[in-house]
Amino acid sequence: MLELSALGRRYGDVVALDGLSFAVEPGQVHGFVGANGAGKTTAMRIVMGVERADAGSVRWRGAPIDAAARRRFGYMPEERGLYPKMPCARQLAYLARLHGMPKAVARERAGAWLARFGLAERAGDKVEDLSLGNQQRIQLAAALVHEPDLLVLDEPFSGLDPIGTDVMVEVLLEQAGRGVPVLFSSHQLELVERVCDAVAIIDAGRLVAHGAVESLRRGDGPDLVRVDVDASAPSWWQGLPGVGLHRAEDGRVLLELGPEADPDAVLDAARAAGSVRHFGLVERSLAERYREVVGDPREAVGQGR
Amino acid sequence: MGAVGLVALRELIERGRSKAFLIANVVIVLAIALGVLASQLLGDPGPTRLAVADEEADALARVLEQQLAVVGGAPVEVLEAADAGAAEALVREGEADLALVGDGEVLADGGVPRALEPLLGLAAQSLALQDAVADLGVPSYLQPRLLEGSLTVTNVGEDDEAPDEASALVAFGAVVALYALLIIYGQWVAQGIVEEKQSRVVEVVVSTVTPTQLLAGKVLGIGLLGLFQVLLIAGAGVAGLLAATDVAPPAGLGGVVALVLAWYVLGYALYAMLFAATGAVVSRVEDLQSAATPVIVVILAAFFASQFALQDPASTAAEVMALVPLTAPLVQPIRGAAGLGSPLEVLAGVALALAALGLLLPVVARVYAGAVLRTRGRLSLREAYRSGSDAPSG
Repeated sequence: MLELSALGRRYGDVVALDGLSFAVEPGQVHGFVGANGAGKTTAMRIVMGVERADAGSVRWRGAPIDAAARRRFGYMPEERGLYPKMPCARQLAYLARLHGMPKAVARERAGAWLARFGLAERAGDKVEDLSLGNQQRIQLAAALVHEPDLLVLDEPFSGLDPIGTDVMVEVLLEQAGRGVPVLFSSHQLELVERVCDAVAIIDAGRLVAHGAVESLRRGDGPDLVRVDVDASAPSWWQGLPGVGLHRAEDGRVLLELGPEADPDAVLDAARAAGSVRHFGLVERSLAERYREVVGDPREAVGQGR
Repeated sequence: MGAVGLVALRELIERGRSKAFLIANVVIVLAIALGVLASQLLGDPGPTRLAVADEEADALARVLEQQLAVVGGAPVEVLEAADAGAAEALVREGEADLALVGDGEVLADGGVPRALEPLLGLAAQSLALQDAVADLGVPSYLQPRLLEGSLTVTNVGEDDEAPDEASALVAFGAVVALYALLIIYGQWVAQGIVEEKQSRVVEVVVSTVTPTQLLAGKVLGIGLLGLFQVLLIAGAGVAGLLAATDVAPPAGLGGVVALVLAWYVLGYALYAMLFAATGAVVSRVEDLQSAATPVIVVILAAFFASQFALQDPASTAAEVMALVPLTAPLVQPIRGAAGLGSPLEVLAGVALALAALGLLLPVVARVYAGAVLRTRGRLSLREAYRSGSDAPSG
């Protein structure tokens, strides 16, 4: 298990991380979302030891991370980079050896990953001679070639075409399948929702929501029920215990049902008020939930007016 | 293999395979071979052949022979001809270079070699003087004493012997090679560092090895390539010197070569540190040239200092520069080739260079650690040093 606890980092007056804590379980595909500048990259760089924390700590399998443990991590930095003039196979084998693999195994794994991504015949080509898409595959292979114990990927989906995205999803799920905790950041919330077991949402260096995707979508707030009823009295729902108006939508209402509310009683009241055209629990997407907890910057501008 | 070894091995393999390195090696060997060949063809014309027509001419040739032996010029070969006509014929046929036909007359095909002309004049004067002394009626046993000048050389310097031509040649060649290699391989270090920053690969590498390990491996790997080239130059140079017949290999050549190798290692280590610091603070190869200029100026100054020392290896200035860490690598081989550097001086120079390296290493490692992950813009050395204190340890 990877545990981030109370991480803090400042750059002069700018607070990049402000007491950030969450954990990634073994075998979990864990999303990491937040606006640009929210602190995702800083947190991941601290995990990878390429950035120092001002406060807090990162623990791996219950202990502080030492060089030997970190050598077993796989990392894809936000800014991609490999040795442009070094041939693919030699480059991957070199990185595998830096991560502590014996020479023969390193070569074998480099060849296996190239074959996996359909690049076996490009093994002797320089990285700079590959297409951008293939360079990204080599970059992913570089993070995986030493069969890491933990994967930390900063925006692995950015710039990928649909096929590349599918390959990336497949690899992440496969790695989690062999018990590796996978932490990755992304702005593609639909993708995060689809792929991840758990998500951490951060804003201005602080954790604003964290948990399993399912519970996160629901949130800890009330269930939302959308009702479309041809009612003469628009306030037919008033007086029902635990029920409040979330939003009126042009004839329809979005009701908040608290814990003491009884959905059957709401439906009965609706039918009593008129003919019910629609009655249903609203599934909130991660994107909606994200906007709720982080706030839409455009709304913030609107309020300022 | 440890992380430093792996990084060094990568530099060795990737750069050792590069066309630039292979071509440089071929060029070095070819240049030395051509130099030797040219010196054989141009520098050693063989003895000057003198055709003499009579006894008087023969006497002149003998005096000239003695003079040449004294000044160390190319020897003469005397060909006796029956008369002036035969001597002239020898010159015309190219069998002789010059013909002496009596009465101080010299026949040449294309002119008298420049070095020979004043000596011929002196020989004629000397003969005339002998005749004049004999004509004065001086007894023959006294004549040589009358003509014998006396010149006593007293060495007032501390040095036993003046450097001969061959050792000066060796010293000059060694220093030019050292100077070029320090600049080339030092810049490779700086360039390698910037390329890693510019391509962003450094973040992947530094997440597995510490910045210090990466720096050490890089300096080591590139240094070994340079060492290979120093050995190549030394090997080809010594072989060429032994093959060349016109220059006798100086005594103590082995010691000079050892000195050059040792000072390549120390000089490279020192200058590589300076180049590493300049490479670490820039983010683009395009910016490297201006950042590295101060270091190149320092090497250039050291090179000029070494040329000064070459003119006067025994001077106090040369003695001091043989001890200063940044000039010692280029000045000590010169003093060594001149037979001047005492073992104590060599040891003191090495000790000072090692001490300078000991001071420089932690500073550069810290600058590098502070700057290596700053892949945007350019830092000042001070900024890099400051942020190096809180850089991650890997």
